[in-house]
Amino acid sequence: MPSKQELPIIHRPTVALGLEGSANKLGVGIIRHFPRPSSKTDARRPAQILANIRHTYITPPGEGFLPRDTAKHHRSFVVKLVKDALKTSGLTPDDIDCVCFTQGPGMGAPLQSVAIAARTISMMWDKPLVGVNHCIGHIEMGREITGANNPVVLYVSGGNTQVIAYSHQRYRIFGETLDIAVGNCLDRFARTLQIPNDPSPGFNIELLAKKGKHYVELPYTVKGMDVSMSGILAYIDGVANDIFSGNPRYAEDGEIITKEDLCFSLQETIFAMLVEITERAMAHVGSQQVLIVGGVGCNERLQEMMGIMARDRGGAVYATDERFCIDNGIMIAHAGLLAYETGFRTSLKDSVCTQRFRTDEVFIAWRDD
Amino acid sequence: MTKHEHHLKLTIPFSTTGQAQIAYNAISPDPQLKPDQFTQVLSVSNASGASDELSAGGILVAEFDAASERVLRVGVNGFLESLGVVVGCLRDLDYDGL
Repeated sequence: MPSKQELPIIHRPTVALGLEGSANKLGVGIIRHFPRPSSKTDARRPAQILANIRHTYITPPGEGFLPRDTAKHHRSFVVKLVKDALKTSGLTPDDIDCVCFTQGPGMGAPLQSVAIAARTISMMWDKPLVGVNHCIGHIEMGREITGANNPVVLYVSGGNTQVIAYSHQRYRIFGETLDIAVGNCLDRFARTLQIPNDPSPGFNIELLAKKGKHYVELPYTVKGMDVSMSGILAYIDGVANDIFSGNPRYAEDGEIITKEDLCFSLQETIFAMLVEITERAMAHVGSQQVLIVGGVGCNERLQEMMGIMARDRGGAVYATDERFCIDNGIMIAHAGLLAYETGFRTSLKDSVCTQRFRTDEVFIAWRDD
Repeated sequence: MTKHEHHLKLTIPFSTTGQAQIAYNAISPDPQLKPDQFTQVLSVSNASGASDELSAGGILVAEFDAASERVLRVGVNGFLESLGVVVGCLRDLDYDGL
């Protein structure tokens, strides 16, 4: 691992192509960074997004996405998306400095399919390859877009649930899920309800939850700084199955519990758990900022609940919209380009993807605070 | 290479040796999931001496060795799927073609 040293100064803008395919979204992005100002007091010009294209593999209601089929989707679309991204950006391969790709964590076969495309493009265009940790991509993109300089990060998606804070050139994990991710819990409940996966199961749950009126008590499973989701899912699946098999449940006011009520109750419960562990991390590190990243981070109710907590502490919540929250290629280009600017490269032999790749394994050479 | 009794050898022609080398480099880093049951050995040769007009450029040679027909089929399919991505990139993302 590189030791802490002065960052090399690059006096011209740099451009990266980023390829993301760790789950059911295939994303291709092109980003431009401007040179660091010579004075430390000057702000760096914000990164410029030249293209950010995504194609999602959507399965029928009641079905999740399987690695094999997802990989096939990515293989079918990756060339077209790269072509479209270049066209959108108006650039040619000559303008690109490096080719970045998600090296993990995620599903093995989809990751590998996209890595093969990244390797091929890197060799064809004779540009260095940069492997990127998916979680670091989310964090750095969130910081870039929102301007939150040193936030506690809540990273919530279909595959990951982590509370993260930066310290000494690592993004350190303060708390995480002990079993399934928050998004996985929502996605699987959407399958139980047989609601569409288009545009995403979580979005459809959010819409239903807005119509929910009765809160159904669910297990609340915060364990220290960690959370557990699988018991909650099993419990609410049981309630839903009861309702669907003609055994209605009744609220205190005598009304029948609906699936809208269940979506509402599920969101309220698991988001309250996330707010609790995030607040504890903020108190621990003395931060006033919360940055929410990952696909579940689009959820407006989660943003609202987190905002209430943050305001009570005199702080604020920072979130992005679906272009940057949901998996995308631009965040991989961005985090990859930050690493590239510090001299980081990924050789072909080290470009194998890994399904398990923890956030705190990455040395954050580009931050010196 | 002849650890198991099921074998297959594919020779894939490319228009240049450089392209065959790119395919080799793009596919070779990934390890086989079950190396005790399936091995895949790739090599690149230039086509000097090839009589076939198709292989006037470079050739990617892939030799597979598997413990059963099923493992062979699955493994070779995986290789061809990866190769498809490489060929798609070579065809559509070439400097000149863009």
